[in-house]
Amino acid sequence: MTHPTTPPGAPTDPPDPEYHLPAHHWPLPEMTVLETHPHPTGTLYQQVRASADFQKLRRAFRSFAFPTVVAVIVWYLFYVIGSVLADPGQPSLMGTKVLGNLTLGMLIGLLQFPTTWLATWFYVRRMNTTLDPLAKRIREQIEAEAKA
Amino acid sequence: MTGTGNPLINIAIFGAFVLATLVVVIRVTRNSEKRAGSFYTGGAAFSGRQNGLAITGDYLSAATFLGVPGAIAIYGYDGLLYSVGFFVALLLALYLVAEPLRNTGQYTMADVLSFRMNQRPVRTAAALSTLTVSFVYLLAQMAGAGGLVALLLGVTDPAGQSLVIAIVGVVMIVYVLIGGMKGTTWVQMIKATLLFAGGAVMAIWVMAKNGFNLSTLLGNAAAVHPKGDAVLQPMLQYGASPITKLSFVSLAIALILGPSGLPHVLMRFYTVPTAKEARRSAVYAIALVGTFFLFTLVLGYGALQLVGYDTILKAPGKANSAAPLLALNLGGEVFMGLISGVAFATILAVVAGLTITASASFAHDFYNAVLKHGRSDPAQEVKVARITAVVIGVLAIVGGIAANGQNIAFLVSLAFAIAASANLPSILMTLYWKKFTTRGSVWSIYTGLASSILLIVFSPAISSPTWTNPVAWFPLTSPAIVSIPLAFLAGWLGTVTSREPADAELLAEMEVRSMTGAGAAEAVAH
Repeated sequence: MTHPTTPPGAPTDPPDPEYHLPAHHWPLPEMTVLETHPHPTGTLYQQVRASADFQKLRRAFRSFAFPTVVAVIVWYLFYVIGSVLADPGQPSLMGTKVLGNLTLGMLIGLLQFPTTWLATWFYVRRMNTTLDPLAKRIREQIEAEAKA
Repeated sequence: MTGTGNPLINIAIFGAFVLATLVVVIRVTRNSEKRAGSFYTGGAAFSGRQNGLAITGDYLSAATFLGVPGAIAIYGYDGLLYSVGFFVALLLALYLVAEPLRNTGQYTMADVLSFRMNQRPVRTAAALSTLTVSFVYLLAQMAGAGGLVALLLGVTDPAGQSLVIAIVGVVMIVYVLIGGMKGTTWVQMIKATLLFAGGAVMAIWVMAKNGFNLSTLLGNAAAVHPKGDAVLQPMLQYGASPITKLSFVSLAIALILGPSGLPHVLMRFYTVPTAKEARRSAVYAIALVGTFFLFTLVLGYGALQLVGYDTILKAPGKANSAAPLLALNLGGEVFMGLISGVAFATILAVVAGLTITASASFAHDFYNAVLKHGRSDPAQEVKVARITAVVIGVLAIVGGIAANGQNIAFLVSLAFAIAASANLPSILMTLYWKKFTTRGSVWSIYTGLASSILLIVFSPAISSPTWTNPVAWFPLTSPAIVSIPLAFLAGWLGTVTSREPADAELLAEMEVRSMTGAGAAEAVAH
């Protein structure tokens, strides 16, 4: 905001970058006045929330995140409920040995690890490829509007 | 063999850990600014990778490193539930809370809960629940410190153990006062690295002794368990009756839903600058924590095979000493000292993180927002936070001495159940149910908090150690299966009976900000 007010040619410390310019070029116009943190208003947020872009973003998030979360919880409860169907000391489905001494229940428990990693990868990929570009566009729109 | 290593070596290693971490805390905080942001969130300047390591550190507490291998060594299959549930829970945190939290909040869980509500009632409720959950979790860690020290330093008389718990408390207060969140995060990162490395070395060592064949390990472990093959099958611990089986399901629910409501884990998503870094930190944490939990399976059965069932149960810390005893068996006294030093550092770091969370919530949510109507100056707020940290530290020492000898995993599961009941329903409804109102939020938090605590108090876990005692009129050891639905119900009931509907402007702002990150820079700069 502080524009040099000293006449061209005057020595300044540190040297003004415009010092070497011809006098009729001085002063240079301000490039842009950037407000560091735009302050969008509530009504703007309501407009954005109603916009097609935002609705698309919200739908895109919920349509993959909610089903995945439900699937993960069902898969986990399958392991938990399957385990309580067994009785101690009795043969049971989850207690059946499937790979050497590894029982089916332990195998399903251990399989929760790769499936969780897979769901993590799926989330990151979805967010990076589909949702982030959309979110960025809306965010820039909001910041531009707030500035105007 | 009931040897517990060489107490002198253990004390030396413990001392070295404390000194080294203190030096780190002092160094990393020397040049940082004295602002509320730097005390609470380290200035939100950590990268996703660093923060992922710190989340791993918060997540892998004494209960995880000492409790889970112990539970697996004694109960086998049923102990594995802790690993699976606790791990899958991180995925829910990533999917549903990590990024919205970073985008809409600043320092505490209550920032999000109160975003579109009346500030004072919601912040009061959230601060109370944060303090409760953090304090119960803190007690568990302090009790763990007592048990660990009993085992390692040969300190068996209660007065000596109380002294050690007091020392842990004092060191923790020093970390927090000097380092704030920045120092604590660095301690977490160092400790997570050491813990991960220690777990990996031990797991590989155990596998090498079994020809790198999991089936061989399981077979050898089952061969020395008094119940034999039952240790590979479900319901050795929880199979006694339909009621105990329901307790298992209830515990499973608390495990998977609790972490997304643990304030000290949620606060970790504020120590990064953007939602994208919050995502990255959750991903790193999921990779590391998952791998570590796979180690715990090997450590648990390895301890059973190599140390033996009776030796573990006769050791001073009982099941909690399975991992250190395994280290002694594998690598001798010095190795055991190193592993125990890591466990000790784990307790210190987690305790410091909990203290920051609790003091931040008290100062930011209660002192500033409720008592001062949001007008206290940041310097004053940080001062209150520091005083709170000292008070919490002293309370934790007293409570830790009282809780010494309690089962760590049990105490932690209580903290989980309270977090899953009091915090998570309200967080989810705030973020994903547009009609949710202030009254719904407050009712949900208080109902979850009160019901989970009351059901714990009247459960067999507290009222009596046996299943047959009629004093325990609530028969389950974990309240989650009842208290979580109650909290959701109260949230719904409070919402539909509200006189004023949800604030549409603030709802729009919260939704747009949480999904796009607009205005998040503003939140950091405040």
